[in-house]
Amino acid sequence: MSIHDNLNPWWVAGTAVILAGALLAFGRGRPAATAESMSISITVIPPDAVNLDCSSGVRFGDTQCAFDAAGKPQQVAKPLRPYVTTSRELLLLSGVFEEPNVSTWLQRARQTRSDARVTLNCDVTTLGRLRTVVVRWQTGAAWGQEKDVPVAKVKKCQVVP
Amino acid sequence: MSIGLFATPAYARPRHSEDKAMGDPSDNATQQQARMPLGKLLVTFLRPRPLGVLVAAMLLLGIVLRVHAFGYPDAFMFDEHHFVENARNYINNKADWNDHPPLGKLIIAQSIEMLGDNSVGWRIPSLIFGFLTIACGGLASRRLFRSPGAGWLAAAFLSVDGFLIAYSRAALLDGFLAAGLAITLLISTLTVNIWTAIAAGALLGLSASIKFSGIAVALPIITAVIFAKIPKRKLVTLGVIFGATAALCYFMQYSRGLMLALKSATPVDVVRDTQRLLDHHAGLTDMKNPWTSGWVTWAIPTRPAMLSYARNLGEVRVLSGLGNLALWWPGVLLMIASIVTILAKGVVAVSSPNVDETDDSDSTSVVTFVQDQGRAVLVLLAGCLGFIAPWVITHRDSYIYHFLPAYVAIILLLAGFVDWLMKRKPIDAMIFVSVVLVVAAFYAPIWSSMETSEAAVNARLFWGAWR
Repeated sequence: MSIHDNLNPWWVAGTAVILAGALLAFGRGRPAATAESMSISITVIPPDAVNLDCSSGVRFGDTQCAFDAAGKPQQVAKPLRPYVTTSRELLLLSGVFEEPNVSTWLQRARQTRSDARVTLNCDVTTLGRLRTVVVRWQTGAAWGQEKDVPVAKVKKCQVVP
Repeated sequence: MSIGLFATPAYARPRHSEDKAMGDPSDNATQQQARMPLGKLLVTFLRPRPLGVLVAAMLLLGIVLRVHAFGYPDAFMFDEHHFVENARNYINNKADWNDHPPLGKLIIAQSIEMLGDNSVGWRIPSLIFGFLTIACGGLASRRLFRSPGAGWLAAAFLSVDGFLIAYSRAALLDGFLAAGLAITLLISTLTVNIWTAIAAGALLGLSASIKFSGIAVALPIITAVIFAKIPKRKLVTLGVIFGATAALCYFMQYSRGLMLALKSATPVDVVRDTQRLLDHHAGLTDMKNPWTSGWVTWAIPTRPAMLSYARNLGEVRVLSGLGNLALWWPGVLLMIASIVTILAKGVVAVSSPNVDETDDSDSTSVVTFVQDQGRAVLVLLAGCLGFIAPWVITHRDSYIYHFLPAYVAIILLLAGFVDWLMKRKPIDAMIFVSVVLVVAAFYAPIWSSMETSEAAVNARLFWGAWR
């Protein structure tokens, strides 16, 4: 008779249920914390530089949306703007069109009157999340509310035609 | 001390009578339960037992993982566009450009019409068929192995397997076929008569109307009928009814699809269009799609389907089709060992019931299991090998999802073995079931699109080819 033949089946089942519960509660992995660096991919067209906007009263360091919670314009050097990643996730980014590589591409596209879409592979630093924010994808279009949107600022981007 | 689900362990060697297929619920335990007063039966049933707690936990976890964030993502995953776009085409009376018969897409179209053209509407049929697989798989196992414990274990194992969970959450067709096999296995345990012939024929016709490989559901039925030793004349009659019902269902579904696409839908058109699709499939042999995987590699597996992988600033949401490894590897090994045993002992020897030779030994070898449960094992292997055979005997491009229905049969085989083991080495069996539950809890985040981190995903999909 081996040692485990003396095990109480209740102990076996109980241990498994507790272990499974602990894995479900605590073993799911920790999503990124504030100030963590990571890579994302988004696609943009030149008109996005003026069309994308958000409205919120929340400030993240030196950046915030170009419109306050009441929808009034506010002066921000590198405002947050809404983007959708290539895996279709909405997020707010600061400094995309101000990043040197993107800025060069934008200038060239405006000179050649090109509206071609490009992919931007960017390294970003997370700033936090906005529980609610209103965004618009076209100047003058209606605002739409979005919930639980991550916020980040761009460190560096690579333009992929 | 009883650790099973019921007060009286239900071990009984199979007893087969004339005109019966594989199962007969009137085993010893069931008879004893039937003689119990209802109150006592309820008390016996509800009294908590260690295995019952594990089974209940697994069933509950399986339900939660299937419905959690069910509509996520609200865009197409994996091959969903093939089937949802063509479901829309049927609704709008446009041509179906997909290369499978119409029924799978007609089911999705019906759901879209009832629940709307959104991710929940596309995927609800898969969820329903997923639950049907658990229920019918459990009942089939109970009857095949003549043990309530085998039934509960099969339902629990089917419930906490990632391959089946992922396909219950996606608008894809293979989950329908898995349910088709589970229902067929259940039918194969019923008494062979005109009604079971009609039901089995309908299942065959409908399964083949989803994907041509659905024709494999015929094999467990044929195997069970062989064991039933039906008089030749009756066999011919039932065979004609079976075949005619299958053909009728296939032609009706196919012509319905052609009609909705505003095409000519005579039986000749159905035959012609079926031939067109078969010719098309025969030409798909280059294995260049990055998701292709040879059937031999399914045992590992080297290329499980990644149905969805969304990164969002350090937050990752994944729907992986990787199975529960605590079921996958033992299940595949058990299947191989069972086949080897049958080849060594001979089909006739394994399938011959002999109530006088009930093995009461403590042997827990697969050989003894196969000898004890020969007919159940043969029926399950027929279902399993039937769904693998098309990829073995042809060079058609193969994908891991072709393995899904076969995998249902493997899980039922494993459940039968664990239940059989439970009566010989109960603690060993309990530890195995416990490991299955813990592995399911560990993999839960990537089987139900939970918010997690890339590191957590990589820890679970530790082999690069799985990501």
